[in-house]
Amino acid sequence: MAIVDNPKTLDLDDIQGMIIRGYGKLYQTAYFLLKVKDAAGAKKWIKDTLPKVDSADLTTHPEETLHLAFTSVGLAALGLEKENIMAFPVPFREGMVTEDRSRILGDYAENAPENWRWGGDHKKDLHIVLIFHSKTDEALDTFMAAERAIIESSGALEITTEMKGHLREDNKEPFGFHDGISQPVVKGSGRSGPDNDIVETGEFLLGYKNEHDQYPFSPLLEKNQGNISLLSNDPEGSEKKDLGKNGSFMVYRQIEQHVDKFWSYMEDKTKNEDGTINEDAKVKLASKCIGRWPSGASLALFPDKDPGGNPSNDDFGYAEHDPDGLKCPFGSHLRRNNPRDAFRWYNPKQSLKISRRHRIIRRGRNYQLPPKNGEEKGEEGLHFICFNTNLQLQFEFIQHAWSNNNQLRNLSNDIDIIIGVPAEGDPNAENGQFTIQAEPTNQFIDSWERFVTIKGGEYFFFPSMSVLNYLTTI
Amino acid sequence: MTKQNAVFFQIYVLPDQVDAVTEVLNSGGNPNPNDSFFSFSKIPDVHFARWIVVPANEKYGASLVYAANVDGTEEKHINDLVDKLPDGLDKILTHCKDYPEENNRTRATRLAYLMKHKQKTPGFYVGAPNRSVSQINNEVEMQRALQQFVKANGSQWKTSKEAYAAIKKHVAEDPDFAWAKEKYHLPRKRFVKMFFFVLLLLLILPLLAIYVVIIHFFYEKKAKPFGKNVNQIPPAHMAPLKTQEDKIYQNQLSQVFETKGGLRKVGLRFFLWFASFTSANWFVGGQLLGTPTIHFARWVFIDDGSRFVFFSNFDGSFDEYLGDFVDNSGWGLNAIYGASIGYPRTFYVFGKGAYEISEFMGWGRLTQVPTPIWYSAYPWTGLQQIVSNSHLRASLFNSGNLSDKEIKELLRRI
Repeated sequence: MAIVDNPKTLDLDDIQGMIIRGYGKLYQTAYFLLKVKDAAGAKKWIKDTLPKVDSADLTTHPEETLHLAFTSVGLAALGLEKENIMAFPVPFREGMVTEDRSRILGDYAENAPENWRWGGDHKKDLHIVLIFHSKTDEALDTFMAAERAIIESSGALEITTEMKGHLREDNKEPFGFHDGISQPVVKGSGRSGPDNDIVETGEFLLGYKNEHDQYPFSPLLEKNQGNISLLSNDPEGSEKKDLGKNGSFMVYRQIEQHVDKFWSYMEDKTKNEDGTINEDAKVKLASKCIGRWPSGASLALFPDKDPGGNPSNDDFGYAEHDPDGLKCPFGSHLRRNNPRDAFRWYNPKQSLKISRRHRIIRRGRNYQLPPKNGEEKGEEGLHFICFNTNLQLQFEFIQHAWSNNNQLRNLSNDIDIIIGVPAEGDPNAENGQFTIQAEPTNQFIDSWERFVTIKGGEYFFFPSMSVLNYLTTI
Repeated sequence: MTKQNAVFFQIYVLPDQVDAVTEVLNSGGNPNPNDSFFSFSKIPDVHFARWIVVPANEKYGASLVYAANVDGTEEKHINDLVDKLPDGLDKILTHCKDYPEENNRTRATRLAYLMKHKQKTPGFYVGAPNRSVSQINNEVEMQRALQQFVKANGSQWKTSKEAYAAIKKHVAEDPDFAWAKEKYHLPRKRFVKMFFFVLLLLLILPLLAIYVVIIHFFYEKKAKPFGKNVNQIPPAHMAPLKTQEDKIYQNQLSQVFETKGGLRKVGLRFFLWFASFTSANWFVGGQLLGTPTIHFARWVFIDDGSRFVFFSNFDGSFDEYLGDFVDNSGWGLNAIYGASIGYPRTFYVFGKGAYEISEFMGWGRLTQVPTPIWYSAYPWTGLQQIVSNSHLRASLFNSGNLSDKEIKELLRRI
């Protein structure tokens, strides 16, 4: 393995920035959920907003930027014909909340969409998400105020929800672990990266071949409307125009993280015999559950202790460094959701082939709400955002086949301690455990509670710059 | 040693009774609960079972298909059905052709009726051969008990040998494990049979090559694939399928195919025989060509061979299951299902086809029918869990001295 070149072949100017860029210097984010009240006014607003939307062109370094994504209901509200909406993939058309999809994702009980703040039952009013990136909180507030004024004065859109997020300077998510490492690198983006992380463009951008050497299913215009000269042709050669090219599907889930509960659990499970707290053991157990040290360093490379500093080397395989899970447990959050070169008992080549067919680009940001009456600290969590072209085989697959699967590898009843949800009705759910592969015998940590709760979510279409422009012409 | 067997009936429905029998089956439950009118839990030898309705086509009327994977013989299972679920049988079969009149429904007439409709299963795969339902359930309990023992005592052991000795002593003293000491060995690959099988393959290789060329140039060129992506399946077709999925650890798949004619049909019979033979003699360790999630699968001809069905009982979702096959062995799918009308176009029989994954999944959905009654005896246990538990049991209870490596492997399974 090695860091390899990844020559630029994509038209980065046509791709909304967030797919390729993490905006690591634009620490502050905000999310406006919008309802279209008047299609013509909304389209004009999109047109006016377009110059503020950053593209993936890496040579620009904006101080602030916007991005736009749409639900299927939103596209209909803008006036996209029914036939053209039916051309989109099923999960996007139906949205995140359907009975069968909730079973797959584990959205029941405390995660039930009925309890969500947004998405789910509120779907009919959720049309567009406007995403803000800014350097400082003050700048963000000014930016938001300006955009809010524009939206309100247009009269064409209603802001139904406003949320803020941020990236900590140390890149840690609320549990205190370095986040955003081990992202796939989009082939053709011009960004170099570890060989194993450079993934075919079509896994993340519509209109290109994916890891199956095929074009992902892309919405092709069934009924001509608007200025179709703005659209590309179907790369597979039909005469139809491609709404998808250079776009992607965006998964957005607001995930509350129960940070105090997480750490008090880790503390309880690792106390010394005399009842005192064992700080090292506590951090080690939490790290085993996550699959990395708080600094982001890999357990496979640093099994005994956190080397600290910034993770400089994420270019490793489990097959070589930890085939038996003795360093980084099979059931850890990271290893199960990206098994790299050691999936099942398959050889590294076959494992990588499969792992690369189930990758996502994550663009999550932390959030912290102000304390409610009497609370010391407000709710905190993650605005989980990810991009993929095939919702079933990427995001949903990872959540169901890997996070929620309690029998992965040699495990007998272990779900992902962080984001896993047991199947509803599974009589073994309450005996769930976390297994730490060890010698001479495995160690088991049991009596878990859940450390995250889903508070909202929806699937969005994240169009290219030219399709954003096209949408203003329909 | 228990051998699991396949039971299968195809029974034609009275033409005006299709809706009525569908409604009856729909009340039976997927997954099939204990209080169902046709509760399989009354027959403890059943691993998985289902009833489906095969829709009518131009030539053949609608029929019911029953499939069960059972311990013991076909005949014993049919007797069990008649003895334990006579009312359930009547409730369903009263809508079928030639079922005894109400005043003539006795043990003997029901038995005779079922015996008359039983059919052979030419293609059969068992993920965990030689294991009865009770063995599977016992081994799950055993693994849990051993985990509890390790949880309580693991910190005392310094070496693998010490841990193994302590576990061995513990199970020897516990009468609850008496069943596990009965003589048992895991199913073995049959090398001699496979040797002759490969020899035979080599002999017919020229024929196979001719077959591949003829199919490629004279059949596939004319074939009419459905050409539908999985996102283009009519919602009305998907809805009843989706409501039955992802409710337990496992899922079912019931597909009905129209068979292509001529040489394709000959090839299909050959590849099903191939699949069955290798399943019984080679793929006995819990995976079929690398796919490790299938409990039972079968292929059966119906309607005088003009159609065939595929039934599978597997872990995970539809997408995960089909994706797994494409990742590991799409060529095998192509060889068999290439004989079904509408299949994605193949390339020299083995290429393309399933590898066009979205079109393949679309074909999978279009050929899928609902499974109104479906039963699993161990709905929360994955196939790999079953296999691993048997390895654990065999090495702990049914083996002589273990090497250090074998001891480590045993401990990893707890």
